[in-house]
Amino acid sequence: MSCSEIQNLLSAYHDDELDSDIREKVAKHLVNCVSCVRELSLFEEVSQLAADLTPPVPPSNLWAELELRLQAETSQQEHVVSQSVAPARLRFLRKYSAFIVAATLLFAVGVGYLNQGDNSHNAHHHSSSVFSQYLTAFENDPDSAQQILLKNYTNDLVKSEQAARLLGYQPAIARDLPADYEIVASYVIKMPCCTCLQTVCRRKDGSQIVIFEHDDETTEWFDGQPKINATCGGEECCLVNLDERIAASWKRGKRHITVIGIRDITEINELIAWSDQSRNKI
Amino acid sequence: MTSNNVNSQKEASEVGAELLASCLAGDRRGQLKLYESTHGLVYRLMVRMVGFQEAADLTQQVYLKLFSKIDQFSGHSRFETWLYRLAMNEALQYLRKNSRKKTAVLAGDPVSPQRPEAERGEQREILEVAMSRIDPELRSIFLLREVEGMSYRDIAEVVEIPEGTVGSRLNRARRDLQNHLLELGWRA
Repeated sequence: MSCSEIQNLLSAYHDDELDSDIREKVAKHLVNCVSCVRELSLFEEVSQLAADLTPPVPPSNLWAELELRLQAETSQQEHVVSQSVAPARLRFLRKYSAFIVAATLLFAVGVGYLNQGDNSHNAHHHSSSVFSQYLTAFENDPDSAQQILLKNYTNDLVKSEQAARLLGYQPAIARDLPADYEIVASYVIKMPCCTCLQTVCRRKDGSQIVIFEHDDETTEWFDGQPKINATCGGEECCLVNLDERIAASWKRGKRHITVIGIRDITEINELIAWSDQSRNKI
Repeated sequence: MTSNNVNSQKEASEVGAELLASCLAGDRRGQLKLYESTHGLVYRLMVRMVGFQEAADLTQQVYLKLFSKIDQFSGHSRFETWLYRLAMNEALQYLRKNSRKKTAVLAGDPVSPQRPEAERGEQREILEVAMSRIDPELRSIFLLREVEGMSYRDIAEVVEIPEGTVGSRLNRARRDLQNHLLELGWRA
């Protein structure tokens, strides 16, 4: 066999993938051929190098983010099914989702608009620490969670007309409220990042969601939490997985809406539709 | 004729029919179990195919496809082979769509060609850089062989080429790698 023929078989020889008779022929050639031996030894060196490669460790929040995406897909499928089999259900959904473009979720992992820089490292760290405590407590005891925020930041318990005066703009929540929710209390809270209006709402079953309307993006609020960007109800939205619940944030005009304690993607879509409707009423 | 004589990083995961059935039913715990037993291989493949920046997102894409297409797994091949194919297709598709983007260097700073005395860790880094510079199709075959320790038959099944072509592609991959390694200051 010529060098050219041998070199075509060299990887298969090196990887022990040749039939024994051909393998023997290659071995015989190698006894007397310096250039083919040299090539083979380079293959061996590269293999040794590859064997030493350290496997990269997957990020710890990978499953949490994936689960959110799976949940979103399931919700989409249910939405499609409901449209095809239940006209009454469809009418109900349309009531809330007139502005929802089919919730096509196009995800990009990681750095969302909640995750951009901050001017003050200490304020950033403090805010993310307080908010982390708030989110942890919220799951089991929303009232205690609320106390964490109120204890850490200057705040005013307000009515809607006062809120507009303190904030300098008419907040979405002041104009109307998403159907099926009632206001428990509203606070104007001064945080290091921004002054925001926080509205604690109660669902008919007594559970809570909390709506923040604020000037700045939520930057440090969700540091360290698994999050993804998605298009929900036609809006670029940042979703954060909170064990049993979801937090979502999206831009509404010049400001942002952030909601804590959402149950699923359907509820996000309904809230986005509400914020769009509310905006159209301005 | 088939043997795996390389240091494989392959997990010893054998995905059972029961687990697949539970994933087919959309059971989240089953999906988590399947993910936990296989995500390491998908993620490391993605890191080396597309770079760290996109690896997590593409790994998730693979599992979204996997769970939505799991009814298409025929059972004729090993489940891991099917999963490798999904992952590799996802990576190659991404690279084709973003053909202007080069795979990000996989570790640390660019390697200086003025340092041929590089130590072992640096040698690994040089290999990562060299791998990112070769043709993605060749890189995929090289990774399946050298990192995943797959036989030619399994590689052929994953990348959907004749088994006899695997060796010649590996020849090209190894020679291209050597050229890049030497340019980067590697001393064999």
